[in-house]
Amino acid sequence: MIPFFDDISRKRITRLVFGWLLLVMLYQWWANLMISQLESPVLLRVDLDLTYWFVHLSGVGELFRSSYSSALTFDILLTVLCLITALFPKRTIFPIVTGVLYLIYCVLLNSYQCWHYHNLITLILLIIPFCFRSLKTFSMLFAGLRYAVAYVYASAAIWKLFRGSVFNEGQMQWLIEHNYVDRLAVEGYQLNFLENTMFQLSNYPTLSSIALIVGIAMEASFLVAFFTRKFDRYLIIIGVVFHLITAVLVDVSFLQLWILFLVFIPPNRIMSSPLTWLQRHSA
Amino acid sequence: MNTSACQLKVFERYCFHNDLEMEYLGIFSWIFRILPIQSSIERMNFFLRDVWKQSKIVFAFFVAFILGTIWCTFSKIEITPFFLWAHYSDKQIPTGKFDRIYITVNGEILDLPKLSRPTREMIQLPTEYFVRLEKTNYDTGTRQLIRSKLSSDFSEGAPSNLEEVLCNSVEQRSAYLSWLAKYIERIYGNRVLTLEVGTNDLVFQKDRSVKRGNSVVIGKFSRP
Repeated sequence: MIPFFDDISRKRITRLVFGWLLLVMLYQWWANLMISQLESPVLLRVDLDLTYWFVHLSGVGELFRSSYSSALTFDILLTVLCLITALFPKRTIFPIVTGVLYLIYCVLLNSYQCWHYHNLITLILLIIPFCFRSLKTFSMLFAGLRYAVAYVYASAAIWKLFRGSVFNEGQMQWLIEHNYVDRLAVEGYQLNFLENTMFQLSNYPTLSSIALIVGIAMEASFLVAFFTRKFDRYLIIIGVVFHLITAVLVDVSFLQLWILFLVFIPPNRIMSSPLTWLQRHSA
Repeated sequence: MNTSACQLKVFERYCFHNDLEMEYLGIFSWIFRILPIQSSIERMNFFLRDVWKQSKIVFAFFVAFILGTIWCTFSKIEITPFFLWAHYSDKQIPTGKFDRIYITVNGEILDLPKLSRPTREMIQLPTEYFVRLEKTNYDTGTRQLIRSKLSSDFSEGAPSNLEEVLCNSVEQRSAYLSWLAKYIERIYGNRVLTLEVGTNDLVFQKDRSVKRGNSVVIGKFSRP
């Protein structure tokens, strides 16, 4: 059965999602990763991704590279639009424009970074439901998104299983060493307590192999979401714990994607929390 | 009805939406009585079936998305928004040696680990790509695809225009090093007078410390 949202719960989810997106953009400003802060990058990498091809062939990348003021206007517009969408959650035009600009931003950043990262661009899937006015369409797309998120984690586990890295001896040891080698190469760099604890894991091949298997089992556990909603709340916990561990072990947190776990919150919890209940009664 | 039969009835009612669904299961219902994830395959099928009942357009959207994802997965090609989640799935064998890039600024090795990961990667990843381009003479998969597949489908000048927009060229070599110097200045706040990019081996020692060796210079930049 597809859970259908009402106006109040949709408003709440819109605020949450675009509020989060605003925080993500503010972090990007802080990290000097907005297009206007990239100092007109020279190299770009599009690989065989046709979406990247279209964005670059449209000339938008070249425009921002050649004109600082256009790049700055674009960055400010994108950030302000996230705020406006969160403030005016009923207008569908704002999520549409924000979604388009956000996609362009992610494509350009990934191209100039010469690596097609998923930590930001995946959020485009989350924006899609908000581009439709009809509550019915929104609800169906949002419900479908739950399967997409489950697929993200489950397929990550399946890839590792099929390519044989799960039971590959020394795989985790290599991953930890790969993550720590740059830091250890810096003269005088001292690992902190947590880093040192995690690095020590690479000295115990059996233990690190078990850690890898447990990690992949955590990813694989998202398969259950295709069959039942019963374990959704546990999937949120598993997802967060998984990302916290990978943040320390392999320096990959995917923090920006944590908002995707929203799809695992039971819809009745979003719709009938005390605040919603009060709003409904006062309306 | 004994207790276990009664429990089973409640269990079934909890798992399946209505009698029709029970009927739907037919002779296979016993499987779902045994397995703890009995509502399993049913629920997912029901989702698409419910969508079909509600809106054919949204159903078509989901089917297109699923097909796109399947195609990209089997072709091992990523086309946004059909992402592949194959990170860290390549088999690796620990040798204790890593071939990494290095950047020296004003004669000193740049301390990249002190930066946040996203900022660090805006320096590190393009530099790794630059090294790769230098080693392959700027011949990338994108260029090969444009030349081999698209040259017959477009007019004569089109592929070279595509290459110009989508690929990097040897002429960008010094422009890249100049950009790198500018971006490092922005991040570190120090003026970059000389810059060197290259590769070296980072080797784990017996005491688990790391030593650099076997450096190869790829590119140099100096401010006049």
